[in-house]
Amino acid sequence: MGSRTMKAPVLRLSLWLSLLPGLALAQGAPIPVPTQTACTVEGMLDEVRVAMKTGSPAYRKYARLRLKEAAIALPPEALGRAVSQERDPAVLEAVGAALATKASNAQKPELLQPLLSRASQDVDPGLRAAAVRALQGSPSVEFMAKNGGVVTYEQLVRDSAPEVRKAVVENLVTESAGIYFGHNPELAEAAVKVAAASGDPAVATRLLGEVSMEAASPEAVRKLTQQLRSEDAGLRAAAAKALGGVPGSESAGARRSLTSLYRSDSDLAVRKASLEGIARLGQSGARPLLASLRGVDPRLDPEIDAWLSALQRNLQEWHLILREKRRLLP
Amino acid sequence: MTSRSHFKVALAGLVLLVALGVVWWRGAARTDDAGPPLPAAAVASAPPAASGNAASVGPPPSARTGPREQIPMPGCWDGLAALDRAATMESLHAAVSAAIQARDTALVAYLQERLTELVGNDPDRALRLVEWAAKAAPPEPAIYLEALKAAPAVRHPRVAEKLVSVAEDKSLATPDRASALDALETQHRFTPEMRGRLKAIAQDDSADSAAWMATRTLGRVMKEDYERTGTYSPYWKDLLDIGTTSDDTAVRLLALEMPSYSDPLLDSDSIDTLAKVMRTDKERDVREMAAFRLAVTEDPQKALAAYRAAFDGEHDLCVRWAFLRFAVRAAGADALPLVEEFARKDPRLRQDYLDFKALYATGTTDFARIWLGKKEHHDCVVEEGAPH
Repeated sequence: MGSRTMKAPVLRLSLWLSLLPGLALAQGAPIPVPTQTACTVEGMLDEVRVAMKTGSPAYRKYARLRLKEAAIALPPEALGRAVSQERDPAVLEAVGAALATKASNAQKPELLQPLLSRASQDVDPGLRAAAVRALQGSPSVEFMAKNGGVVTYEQLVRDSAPEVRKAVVENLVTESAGIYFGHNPELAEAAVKVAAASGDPAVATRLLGEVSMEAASPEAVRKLTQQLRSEDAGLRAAAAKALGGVPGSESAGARRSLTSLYRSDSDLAVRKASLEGIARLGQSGARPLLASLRGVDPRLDPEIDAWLSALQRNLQEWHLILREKRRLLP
Repeated sequence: MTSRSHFKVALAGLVLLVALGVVWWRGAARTDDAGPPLPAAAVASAPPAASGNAASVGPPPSARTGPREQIPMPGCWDGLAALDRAATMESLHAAVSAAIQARDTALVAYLQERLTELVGNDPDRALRLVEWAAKAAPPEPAIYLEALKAAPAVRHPRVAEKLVSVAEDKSLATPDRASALDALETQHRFTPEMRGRLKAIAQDDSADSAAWMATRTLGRVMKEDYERTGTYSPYWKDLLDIGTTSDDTAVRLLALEMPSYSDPLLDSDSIDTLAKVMRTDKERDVREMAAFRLAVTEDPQKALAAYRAAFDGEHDLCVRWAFLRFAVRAAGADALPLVEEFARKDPRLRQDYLDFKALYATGTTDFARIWLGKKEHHDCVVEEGAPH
């Protein structure tokens, strides 16, 4: 009985469907096409709030980009106010990024001040981290210095919250690679200083591993070399790897430091990193030195052999050598 | 240093890197010829019609009370959040027309990405995009195909097959065939059968921009496959065939250019073929490209021998300069004796020899850094379309 009453409407519905093949019944009422409206500061901020709360990834990206684009036309006071008052981390990051874009375009480092205060003083670690992330993609190292160094990455990296420290690392890595293509001495210097100040081996390892030392000053190289004596093995390994990337003029000293580190440090990861540093400094010219280190630690002789094979090919670009070595022995 | 001058330094570095393979520019510039017109290009030249419109509309009825400060800029929309929340293929399709009409590139980019999200892994939705692209007028097809390219469903066999068959359809206009080929570039690999079909298009001299795009897509999928699995040689074999047989200079040039983006170490047999192209191709650009290709191989010494063998027969200074710098890229300081020999034979290259010698004397070994310090003494960068 019940099954018959259930069946009838279904049948009728399918009949209707077949008569109207273009009808999208399952999708409910059609959604109106958006219409253009005047742009207002509040409207744009509202859009960012909605997008960050419930939007698709595409909509969140759109809202963030729109606000950054609008930063040029937006009054700085309005953005500064929004940065000072915002309570949602994702929105703070978007508004802060717009403010940083404005500061960068107008070459007015002082505009960053509300963002820097949130980064250093907010009681909520999520909001502090968001404020730090908002600086990503701007010349933040230079602008912090121009604001009198009241807030610096060396200070921010000592934050008690791991998410803030992580944001600091991301900013420096992105700024070095994305803005300066690795050719910036201030960034190399900042990375070495911040790594030393952090007291967080994971932070230091990532910073020294990823910020280019290509333009490092003799002073920065000296500080980096000091890290080879750190208590923390992770930090010693990161510094050894980073020394491989110092400028040619610093390579003789770096090679000596790394060779004696390989002979004296008993930690396996530190020794492995020293080999990489030595290989990078000399490329195919490093073969005799690497071969002479065989037997110092038999556990690492296969590692030395892999380097010798990779360097045998006489490749001239470090990324190609590294790729070849990892192919032979990851 | 101010940040502006830092940016300049960074920019100069980028320019130098690009100049290393000067011919890349010319290859890349062809994209616009071959591909469908990009929505951005269509929009950029248009007058900002939206701002006038927007000003006359006024604040939306949903506006909160209190002062709302208007900003003199276009591109704000009512109803976008609702569209995003309940997005369907149809509603996004309709909005694309509105965005194009308003010449709003940011909105177009959003709709394209939202379409990608909505298609996801669904081959039927992916095929809808192909259908829309076939029916629409520029700039719409590019939007749908770009959306498709970024969705995982583009790698569904039915979808890839559909794109290849569109590309092969000689009854279609070549730009439409080229667009379908372009949409195939995010495949992770090609079967030998697929590769063969693309190669046939690339070698068809009547296929014009589709031949060029088939070549580029073979090269881009080679990069994908190489980075995922280390496989490059079947693709490279096809590209090398195209690079030595096509009558279209741009296609030959592109075929030889494509390994630049993943730098596999080319095998010893390819060195022989490339050495021959370097000595015999009638186009200067192609000879330079072959020289560029020889800089990253399994056997740098054999590459040096090829540069040496080609030098005397080459009379174009720019190509000789290419032999010189790529010899250095191939073997670093070990190439300096050969470079000195080149400088002795052609004194116009003497300063280059001295520069490289001095750079290696600083202790720098990575060619990427050596090149950043190298001054340019030859006027060899040719603008697209200029006679040379």
